[in-house]
Amino acid sequence: MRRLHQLRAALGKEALALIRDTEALLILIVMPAVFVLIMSLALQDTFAHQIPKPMRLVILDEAHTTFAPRLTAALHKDPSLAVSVQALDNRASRAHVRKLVHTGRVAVALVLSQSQPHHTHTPSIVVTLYTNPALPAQMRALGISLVRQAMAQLDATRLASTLQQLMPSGTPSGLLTLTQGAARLEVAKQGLNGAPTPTSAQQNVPAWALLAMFFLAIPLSVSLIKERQQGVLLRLRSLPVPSWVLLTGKILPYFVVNTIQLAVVLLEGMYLLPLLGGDALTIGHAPLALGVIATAANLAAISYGLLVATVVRTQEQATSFGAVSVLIMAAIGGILVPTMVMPPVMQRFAAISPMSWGLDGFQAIFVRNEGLTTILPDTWHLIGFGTVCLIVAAARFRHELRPQ
Amino acid sequence: MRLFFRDMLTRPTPTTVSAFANTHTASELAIDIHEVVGRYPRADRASIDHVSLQVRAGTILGLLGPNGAGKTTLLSMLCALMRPRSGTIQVHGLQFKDHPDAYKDLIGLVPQSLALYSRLTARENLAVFGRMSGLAGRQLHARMDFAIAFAGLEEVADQRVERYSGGLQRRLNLVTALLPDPPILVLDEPTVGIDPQSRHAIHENLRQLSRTGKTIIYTSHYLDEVEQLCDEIAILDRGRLIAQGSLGVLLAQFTGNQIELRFEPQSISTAAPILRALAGVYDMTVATPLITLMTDNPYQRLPQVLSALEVAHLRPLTLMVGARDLEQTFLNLTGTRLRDTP
Repeated sequence: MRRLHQLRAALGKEALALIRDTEALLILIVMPAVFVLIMSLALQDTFAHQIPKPMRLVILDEAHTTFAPRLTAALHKDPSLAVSVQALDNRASRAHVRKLVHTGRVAVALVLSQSQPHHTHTPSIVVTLYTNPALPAQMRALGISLVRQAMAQLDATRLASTLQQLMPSGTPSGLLTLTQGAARLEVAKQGLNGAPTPTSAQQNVPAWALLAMFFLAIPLSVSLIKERQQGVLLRLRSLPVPSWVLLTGKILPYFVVNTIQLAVVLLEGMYLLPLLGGDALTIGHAPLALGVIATAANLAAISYGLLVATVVRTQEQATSFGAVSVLIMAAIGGILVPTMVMPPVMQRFAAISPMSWGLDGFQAIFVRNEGLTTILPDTWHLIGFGTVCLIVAAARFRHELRPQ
Repeated sequence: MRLFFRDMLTRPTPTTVSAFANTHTASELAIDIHEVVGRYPRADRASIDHVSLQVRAGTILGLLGPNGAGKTTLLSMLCALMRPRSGTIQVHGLQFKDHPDAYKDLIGLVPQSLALYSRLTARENLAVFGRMSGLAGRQLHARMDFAIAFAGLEEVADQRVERYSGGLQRRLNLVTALLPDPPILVLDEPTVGIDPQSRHAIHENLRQLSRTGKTIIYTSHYLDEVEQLCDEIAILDRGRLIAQGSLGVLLAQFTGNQIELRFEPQSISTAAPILRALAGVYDMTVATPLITLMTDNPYQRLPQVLSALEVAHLRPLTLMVGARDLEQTFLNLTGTRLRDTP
């Protein structure tokens, strides 16, 4: 019962301190919303004109014809150098391609398969083009255009060669061969598993929302440092209060703040962004999955904040170390710069950032309409990261409270 | 100012204070510190070096010492904020390692810093720390009401602490430690930076608490307030307890070896070398127009001092044997050298 009263006190004082600091609370909630608004609108235009570094394009040849190497060669010849082309091993599967595209490691994937057209009864090649759901529209158009151009070149070469063969013999039946072996480009209107194509908001809103969540590390750590500097922690140390009560008192109020902050940002993406000419945010049809990934990301962010609070000694350290470390995580994790435009080496690094796990989870729900099962790996990663941070923070805090 | 006078007029009566009365008898040993050694990690030497100190219940003990003497370390160990390297500390017969929660319940700490949530009101602060101390329900509210009345904060109890004057904050800082009604109160320089009126009010509060049987450990650099307030005085220097006793005992025991002479300012330069060269004078301080001699036996050396001055045609304006007050005793015991210079 005593612990319950202590816990109530710890929660109450933190909540009151937060509510009373109106300016800070407004900054915590309004600033991310403003930031999301500005960045989503700004990046929409930026992405539209941006020609990124060579887009990675992979080719999976299920047709097993000579068309694949010829297409690869034609794409390689592209003078714009806008794509880097890689033919996948024949053993690769569509599942592998799906993974490459969904994780943003490749921007465009071509799957070459054989079709049996009804009117000719002659097999032809179908080139299905897939793009990463989060690929900006202009980049997607560029990819499609380059593939079309390469295929047109191959068609022209094939026609010229066929005509050359026909002319001496003068055999009219040879015209039939003109249609044989022609490749047809089909641009997938939907993602590999049927999800609708994404909007800019679906990339940017969750990304910046995650950044704001992790930025909570700064006020959280500052609040603990203030308690330390003002002597409040000394008084609390002199009372029979266990460390877990004080930590819980920190976690729950900031959890609520983060949740409100996320809700504000999502609502803004859904309703305000379209009013200002941006893409409307669609949040999929899996509220449970959304709640789970949001909770996991929230706990990971708060645990990281507690870790920062127990590691640093001054407010200056908290603000500088907190901000820089969060920005590094954001930069690595595809928040500041989308993963797909990073070079392969950096793309591999992205997987170590908790923010990339959160972003993957949110995008699975928002962009690909996936549910709980799909986001579980990212959720476990976030929970694991949060647990490690919390254990280290709790151990350090406990050590601080104990007689030295 | 008006608030202060109101506080003075509405200060609680002793009857009200009895809410804090303790069951411990005055003859009981409240604090028993035995051969305690305290050392901070990576420190060259012990901050507290084999200190033993006993305090009876109901005593107001003034703990004095120059900067770096080890006062805060000793208080930290007493309040279970720091673990002694060796030795034992018992509070009303309990040791922290055996009864951590019960031990902490016995001591109320008033830190030197204002250990309060500045964005919360006095009432909210009291509720937070009351609950943290294990109070709840009617008991909590009764203690809060009493604490607010005791500190004279009724009219400002619902205002944020950040809007309080320094004196009000100090008084709230004090009564926050009283909420769980601990029999022992430890105050680390509780009157730093406040006006004489607020200091006086806090002293009055402490005297009332002492009358109810509370044991009070009080550190301050204002030696006059220790002199007025404390029943007993303990002086620490370089981690060691160098004196303990009542003010009268200390003055009698540690100030008998001093001769203080006042001269015309122009005579100081002539008198100083003569006096310094006398046999039995082992230390001398000059603070024009005063010269203070530390001798092995002042009454025996006095005729020798006077005849040496007579020969030099010097006559002191005043002459005093023994220290005047606690400050002089303190300086005699701990020296005049600055302690916190690099």
